[in-house]
Amino acid sequence: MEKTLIEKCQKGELEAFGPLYDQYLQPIYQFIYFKTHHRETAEDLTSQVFMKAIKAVVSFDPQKASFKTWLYQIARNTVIDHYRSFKGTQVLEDAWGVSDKADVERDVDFQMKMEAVEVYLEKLKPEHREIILLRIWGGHPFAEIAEITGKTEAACKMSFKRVIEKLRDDLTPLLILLLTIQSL
Amino acid sequence: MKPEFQSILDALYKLDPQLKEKEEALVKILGQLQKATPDFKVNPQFAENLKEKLFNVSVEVSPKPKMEVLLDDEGRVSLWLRRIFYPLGGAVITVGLVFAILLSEDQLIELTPQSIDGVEVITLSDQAFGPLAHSGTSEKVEVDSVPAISTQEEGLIELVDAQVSESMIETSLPILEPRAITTYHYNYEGEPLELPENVEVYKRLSTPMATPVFNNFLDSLGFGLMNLNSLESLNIENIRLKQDKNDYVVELDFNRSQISLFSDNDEWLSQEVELAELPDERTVVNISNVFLNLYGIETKSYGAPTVEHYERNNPELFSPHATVIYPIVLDEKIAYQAHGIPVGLTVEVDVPRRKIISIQGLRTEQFERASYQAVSDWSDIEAYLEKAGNDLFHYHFEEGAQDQAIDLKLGKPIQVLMQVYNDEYLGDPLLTPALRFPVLSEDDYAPDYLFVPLAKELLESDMTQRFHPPILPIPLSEPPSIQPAVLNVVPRTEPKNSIPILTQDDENVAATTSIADVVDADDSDPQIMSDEGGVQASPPDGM
Repeated sequence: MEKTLIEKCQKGELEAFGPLYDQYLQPIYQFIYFKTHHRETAEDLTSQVFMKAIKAVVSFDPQKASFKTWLYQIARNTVIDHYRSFKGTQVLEDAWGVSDKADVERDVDFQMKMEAVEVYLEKLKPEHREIILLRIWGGHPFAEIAEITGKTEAACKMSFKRVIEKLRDDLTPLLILLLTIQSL
Repeated sequence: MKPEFQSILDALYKLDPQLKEKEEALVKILGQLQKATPDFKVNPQFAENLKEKLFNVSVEVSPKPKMEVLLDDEGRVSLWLRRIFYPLGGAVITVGLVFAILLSEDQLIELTPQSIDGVEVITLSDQAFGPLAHSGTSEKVEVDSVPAISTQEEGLIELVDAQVSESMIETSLPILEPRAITTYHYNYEGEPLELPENVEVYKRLSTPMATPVFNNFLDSLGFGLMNLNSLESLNIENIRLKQDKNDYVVELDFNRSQISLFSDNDEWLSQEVELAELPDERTVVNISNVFLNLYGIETKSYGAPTVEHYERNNPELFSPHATVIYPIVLDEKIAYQAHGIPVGLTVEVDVPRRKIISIQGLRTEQFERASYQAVSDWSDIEAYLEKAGNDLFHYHFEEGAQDQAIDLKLGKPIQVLMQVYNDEYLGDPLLTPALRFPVLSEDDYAPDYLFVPLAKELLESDMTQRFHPPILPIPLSEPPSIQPAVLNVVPRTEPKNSIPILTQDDENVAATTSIADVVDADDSDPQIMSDEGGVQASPPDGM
């Protein structure tokens, strides 16, 4: 079905992009929101992603990657482009990597929810963080995460395991502290 | 434990069974992470708007094309376009095209435009562009030395802010038909604006596309009929490419670094259109936006697009194509032509068919900037408004009516850039700062906006050379209703000693020509505009 829609798009029948848009809008928006922490920014970048996609669908090559991988790669690059404007020599892939959070617009409710885990998620490598967030926040199975990230499923699982172990080491003292406070 | 955690844990245990011993800690970690899950539902309104933006237009898309110039095995002769050059592909063309020559069995030359983001402005020294006002002699022509004339088709009256040179006097000069004149009186009752001491004037930097590789390539071409090598210093100035699908033609102007695209068929001329079914202006802009996006034409450096010439509510004026203009914006000022139409990337849209008819003005957005003395006294602006109603651009004539001056109320102005030609219309025009007053009063003939130049030199030039009561023909039996003043018109390409006369019927021809004979008794050779619009040579004696 998806293949047929893409072929139609590539023949210039752009109406066929409609079902693809419906299918991918929510996950792409979610993916970007995880990285930007700000609704308006996520909407802006999501718009850019789909405009780029509809423009470039004629050049999409299914031999090289799935449409999903391709679309997420556009989203990933769009976010990176967005954070290129931030100062510093480090290449930023998302808002997590911005050292001075005052530079980043963030939703208030996002900030509140992040209180307990933000400092730990920030420490992760962007690709590891992406896997954690896609699996736990996004609920994507590992096979799908592999498709999104362009890695193998086994590699995604291994990354996930290492991250969880690291978080266990980092988070356990916090959890103990929280439990202690609750018991007081 | 939440059920979704189990599959995660199972995956972890498969990788490392020892982790099972730490299940309690792992579940807590997962719980903590999940607790932090943000609300990421897409706003339905956003989803709908984006979908509309993407899909409420259906623009025909051609498969990924590119231009290839292929040589035969001997590296000669066969130059052909396998497909159309990826129309405008890449983005706004940069200073040069990159020609990648891949030498293989078939030699391939591929044009790969590079893109640039935004506008580049180079600052020059003060007044680097020379005089802003149109140059010419300072000699003014009094009306009694002017032969009788009338307007002529094809806009031969050039109503410009220029003085009439001696050479112009020797040529024919148009004069206006004997009709009542409506002039305007502009009133601005708002607060004066703070005026700067200096203003920045801009001029487009037109750097020719780099063509040495292509020119060198010419040396290797032979066409059988002629040896191109025999011509020295042969340069490519432009290329015209035609698509075998969609009928688009792309023209590359190497000297001006410009790409134009237009449809090579005129189906849109003959289509029947139901006005009620036509989309609104927003959709017209969307049609244009989608097309530009499809072909990688970047519009970030332009201002918000506007739709011109789209009279869908007026069947008499309606044309099935509308013009979308993405205006040039420099230092937050939008650029306009002198008549109020924005200057910039211009896209003609076949609205009923939702296709693009043409793209023009796609150029490298590089400009030079120079500082000039500004109008610093608001009273100078007021004086300008006082006289601007005498601008030939703005008044109109009406048969059988009385002369009148209409008061027009002006709204608060904004600063913009106005296109001004200096240096005898050569090269690209200057973009000079101006105040753009909206005309609030309704009048069928009044302009929508009044532009007041902020460069002192231009304002003074207009005041002394442009705003004068119109030249009227002098009736034989009555004195003129308005005293004639300095003539301020420039004929474009009239032959020497010819007097153009535009009339609507033979009676007018006779009448006007009679006046001409009275006012000017020299041996001019007038031309007469026929009813069909053609220009006829008049008899040697003038009638």
